[in-house]
Amino acid sequence: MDAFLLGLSNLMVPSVMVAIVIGSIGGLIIGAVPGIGPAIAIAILLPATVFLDDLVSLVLLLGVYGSSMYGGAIPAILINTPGTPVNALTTYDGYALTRRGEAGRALSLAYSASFFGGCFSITMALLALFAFGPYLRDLGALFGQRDILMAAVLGSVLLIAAHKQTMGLAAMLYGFGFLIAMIGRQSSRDIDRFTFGFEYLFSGFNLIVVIVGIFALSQALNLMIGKDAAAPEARVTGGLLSGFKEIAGNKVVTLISACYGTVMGIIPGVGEFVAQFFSYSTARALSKEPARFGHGSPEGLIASETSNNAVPAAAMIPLLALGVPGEALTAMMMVVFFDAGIKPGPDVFENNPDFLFSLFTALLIINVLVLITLLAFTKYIAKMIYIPNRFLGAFIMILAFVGVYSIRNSLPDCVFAMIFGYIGYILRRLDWPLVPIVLGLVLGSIILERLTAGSGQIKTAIDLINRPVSGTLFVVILMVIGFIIWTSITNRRSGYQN
Amino acid sequence: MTKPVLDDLLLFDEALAFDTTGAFKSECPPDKKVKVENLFKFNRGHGDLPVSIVAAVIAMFFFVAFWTQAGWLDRDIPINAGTYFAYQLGLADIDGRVTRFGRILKQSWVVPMLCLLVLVPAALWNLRASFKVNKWRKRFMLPTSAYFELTKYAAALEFVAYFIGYTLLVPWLGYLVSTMIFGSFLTWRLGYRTRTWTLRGVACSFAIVIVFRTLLQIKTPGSIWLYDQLPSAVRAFMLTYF
Amino acid sequence: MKKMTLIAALAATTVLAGSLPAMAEYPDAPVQFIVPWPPGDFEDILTRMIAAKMEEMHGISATVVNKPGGGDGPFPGALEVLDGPIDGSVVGSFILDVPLIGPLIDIGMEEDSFEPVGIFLTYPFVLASSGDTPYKSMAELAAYAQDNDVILGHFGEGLTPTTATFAAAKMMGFEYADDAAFDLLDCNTLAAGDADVINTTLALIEPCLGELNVLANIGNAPIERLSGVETLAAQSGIADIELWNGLFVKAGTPQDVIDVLAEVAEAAMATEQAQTLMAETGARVYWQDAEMSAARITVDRATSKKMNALLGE
Repeated sequence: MDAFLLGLSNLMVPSVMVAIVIGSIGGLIIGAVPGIGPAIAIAILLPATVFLDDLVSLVLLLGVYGSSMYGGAIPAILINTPGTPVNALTTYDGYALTRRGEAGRALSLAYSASFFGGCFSITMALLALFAFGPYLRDLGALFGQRDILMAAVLGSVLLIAAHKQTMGLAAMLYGFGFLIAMIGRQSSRDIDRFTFGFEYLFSGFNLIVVIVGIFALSQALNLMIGKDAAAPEARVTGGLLSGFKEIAGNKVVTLISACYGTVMGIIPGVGEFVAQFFSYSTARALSKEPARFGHGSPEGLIASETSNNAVPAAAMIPLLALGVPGEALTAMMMVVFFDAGIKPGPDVFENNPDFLFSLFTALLIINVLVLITLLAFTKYIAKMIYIPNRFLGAFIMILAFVGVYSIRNSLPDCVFAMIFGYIGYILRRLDWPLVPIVLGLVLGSIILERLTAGSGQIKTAIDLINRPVSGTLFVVILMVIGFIIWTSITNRRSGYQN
Repeated sequence: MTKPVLDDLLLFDEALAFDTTGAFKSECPPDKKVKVENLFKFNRGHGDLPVSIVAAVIAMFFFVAFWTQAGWLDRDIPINAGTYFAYQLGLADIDGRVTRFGRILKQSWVVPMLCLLVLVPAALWNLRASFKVNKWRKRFMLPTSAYFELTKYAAALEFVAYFIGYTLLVPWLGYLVSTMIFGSFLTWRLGYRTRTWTLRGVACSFAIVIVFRTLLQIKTPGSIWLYDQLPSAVRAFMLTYF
Repeated sequence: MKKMTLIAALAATTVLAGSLPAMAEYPDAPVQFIVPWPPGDFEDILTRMIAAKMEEMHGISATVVNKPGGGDGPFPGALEVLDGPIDGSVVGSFILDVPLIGPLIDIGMEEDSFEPVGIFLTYPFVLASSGDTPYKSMAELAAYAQDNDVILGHFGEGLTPTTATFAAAKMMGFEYADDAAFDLLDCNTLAAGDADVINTTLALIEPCLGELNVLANIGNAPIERLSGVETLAAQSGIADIELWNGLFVKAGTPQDVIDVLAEVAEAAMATEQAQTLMAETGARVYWQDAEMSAARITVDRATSKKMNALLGE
């Protein structure tokens, strides 16, 4: 309990409060502008946060992460353009409602659904912390190097499985990410992988350089080469408070979607897309009016918005508990944890319990703050939609430079970030998923680290899996691989054309 | 009932039990108005084949490089490798001292090998899928030309060059001057040539320099040719704040 | 016309003024301290104190630049200092591995590439094991390891404390069944059973210190906080060696630059902040000037050579 109060008091510092406000409102705007999303913003802010105090930088990034999906619903509903990739499903029902003149109702539904989803997963996380927290310390001894190795492998397998239609592609991109993680020297003496004698490659590729390149710079190129969107005038009519009543009227859908979001968020390697997909499909299956889905069904809107907002808080859990990030954005935040001297892992509850409480409480405050801001200022935020894309792209480039340079004070890093940006641009044009590369990099380096560190205790192969946690995870991995093989065989039988 | 001339002309075969009494029931499933699957449906773009080929080539390159670049030459595997691995899987027995499995696992080539085991088959599988789609499209005379995509890839190279130019410019002219030049140039190049837009471009560049360099003191290269030309006090000031 | 003359005059003055720094007193331009590790560890904290002291005493901007080498350790960062100018604007904060091992690996560093300004930090490395192990000192460990598997966890094979641990084992006639390089060795490593004996810094095992056996400390003198724990050298017969961190400049830097840096660093290490760090973490914070440091490096080079010979490299 005192940890909770301590965590709360950590937040009451003016600089942290300011960071929460800037993060939330900044995140809202970033989410609202189609073309930039939380990935780009976090990628660019990340290096800057090294200079700020730990909790300040963390709540800043959390603010951006947690509030961008709220903001992303605005253009999705008003002009049929998702503000962030995860709001794509919102366009179906949201824009349809706008076309019927019910833009205000749609917006209010989206806000209240998001708010419920966010608060639900945060409350679950806080409850879990209260209930299981003190026991986590004993759990810590269960999680050694080999266990976390298995968790990372499980995350990788789930990541690939989640890309149902494009598993080969996801596996290939994951493999490339993994490869990038391995380039470099270790211990300056014996271990030298794929450096081809180039001095720059001795220290390997830094995660943030790759992330800024693949997410931010690729989008910058994409925006600059494309056209400025000729966005139609969108007017917000109707009150914004009706949403809450509708949520109360659709309790089942909301609750189920929130659960999907929370559970999918906890499972490493999955993420908002899968959560939305499942909750939307389930909502339609359970609905009394399935035909309305896609044509302005409030349940559809609720399903997509609730689940995608439930993911961020839940995705922090595997990151904090195991050190294995649940999805790409959380992977970026892992860097902030390391800089703060907080090593994610089973120890974190023993060593920094107040930090955990600060984190989730901050998320809660962010959700409340964002809701209030949206209810009051939607009109002004909606104006942000109209910033021209190409101009935006140019300034993302400028921001990316200073961000990348400040990581390792290395100009070649900037050049490589641009190369990764070019690669990311090609991937975007092909509609290939970008996340496997980043997660390949992150999970790959975890696997490398943990295998090296755990190898000491491995006398025979069975030692890899004869611990309770690693054994269980190994069984789950086998089950998932079996499932993958089974679905691809049945898909082949039914003549599924990829 | 005479047997039809062609056995497989099922259309007229009375043996098939069509329900002709009740209402018409279609054999096709009812069409769902909105397919959520479509949102996540993956359609291979036109540039997919060339890029898949390049990706497979890169994967093969690393496969070839693995044997010399990842420490395989320094490997330390027990001489009776086959028996050893059988032993590890519980299928065989070895007398005397057995090398610890961990000692093999921590050698530098192990993880690259695991990675390549995933990467190379996946790259080849993806290439195969891309080929199949391309063949299928060609068969139905759907457009498959990657020319447009390739022009877009080339167009992006121009901006890549601008960025790399900016990167190389900073150690010469310093962060402030380089950013102002780059920001204004890009604004102009992208077509925002009215006075309002030029001013906005300049203002945004300047704002970024002030916020990130002067206020947040984010690191930028430390030895700048231009600043070295200035008198020492000015030089110190510029290096610290710009 | 007048305007042109004015501009010409301004240009001339600027060029002349620009050539003056050679005569000006050090420090007259911003100084960068390069720490070849990610931010947060002891050497980073102390170097930041030195930078702050420099700003305080001389009024110019002094910053710490982290140039981590990833898996390659401190060497890429050290090379940055080597590529820099010799006017004292780029100063390196290096561990002993840089002057010791740098010349031995093929990266362009020689024994005389750097000149020491002084040494200010000794990392409190210890060898520790879980409280429930039957051995409580190096001798007992040696006896136990004859018939049982003991796994060692360390921060990397090339690192000096690791070499010292292996050399000590050889001297005492036992062998570790296996060893592994970790990124982080803390209480959980022992609790989860990832290693039986770990070679780590005191701060990382602080939370559970009471429940562990500290077998030895790797340093020239026992750590006061740990009563009854002798140095590794005393217990095993290898020569004294410890992991220290010092300030270095590129060879050829003028003596007055070195003197100013030494003055600032000594003052920084004497501050209450630095001394509290020492008391809280077990790290030793002090100041040894350039001469003593150079002598120390020579001794350490010889010790390191002997240890490597012992291990048969």
